[in-house]
Amino acid sequence: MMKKLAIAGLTTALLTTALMAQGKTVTTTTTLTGEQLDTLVFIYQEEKVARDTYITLGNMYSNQTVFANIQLSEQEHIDKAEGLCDTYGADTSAINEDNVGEFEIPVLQELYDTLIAQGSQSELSALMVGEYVEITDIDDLEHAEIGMPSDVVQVYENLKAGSLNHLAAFRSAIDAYNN
Amino acid sequence: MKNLVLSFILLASSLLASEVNLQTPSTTLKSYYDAINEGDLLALKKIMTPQSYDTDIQIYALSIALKDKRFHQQLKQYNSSAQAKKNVEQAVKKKLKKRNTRTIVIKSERKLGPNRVAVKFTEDSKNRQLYFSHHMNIWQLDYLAGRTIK
Repeated sequence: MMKKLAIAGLTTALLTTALMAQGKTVTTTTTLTGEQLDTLVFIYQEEKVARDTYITLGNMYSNQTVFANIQLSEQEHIDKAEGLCDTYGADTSAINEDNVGEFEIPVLQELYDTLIAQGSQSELSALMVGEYVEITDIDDLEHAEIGMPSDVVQVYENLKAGSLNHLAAFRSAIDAYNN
Repeated sequence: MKNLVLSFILLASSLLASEVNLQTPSTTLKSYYDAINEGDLLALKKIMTPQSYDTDIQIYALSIALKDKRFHQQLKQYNSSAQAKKNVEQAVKKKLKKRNTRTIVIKSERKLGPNRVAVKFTEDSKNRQLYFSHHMNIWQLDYLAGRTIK
């Protein structure tokens, strides 16, 4: 299926992969390094791109329930990422990302705008954007959990399981669309 | 004569290159937009932390990759192939040069810790914020510096 899709399989990590710590061991300590805390805060901001993309594409293609179903789950992802920030005392008070489709960080706005421009082309393109976002999310989370304590790894594993479900849902919707 | 021509070329290139001023977070922000507006990736490398630079390049490359399968393959190899990275950078440079210039107005600076600052500003009247960290007496744009350190 990947080869058929114009956008799928683009495994270049959008943000987090470039920002990952380099350790390879999963630790069980209850403190995080400054770099790990910084990464947590950035992941929290990045999760909003996925949620907002689905909200906007869901509004464009209201007959596609997959967007509505998944955007609720994406809100949970944001809440979990925020919860981790709270647990580890990573202060996110400088961040205000409440408005859908609006991002204070210009490059996140660029990312969102790019995904929406692609998804606006057709319903199939929108579904492929969803598939792309999930593939990237899974890749990012796999990198993000490297060197993190077990409770963080657990949260990331849960997020990854959610993303795998979303990926299956998008692929199923794409298959249904093609048939 | 040859030396004179060479000197002229060097002078012209330095005048055309973005002016990079990393003395304060706000001057770094202005330098960032100058470099983005001019597609000056050499300047961007000075202005941003390496991870933040890679993030920018890969996101700006995404819209090209979505339309071009061959380029898509190059982008996939961005982190593993120097040649692919170079090709991606060239494409992003061209893209940035074609982009409309954005007007920025700096609103405030907020200290997030001993070596990090958030700058609030508007980009074409839209509210924006970027984070900066202080290393070796310069302020660099750093996407990972958004966490407040007390």
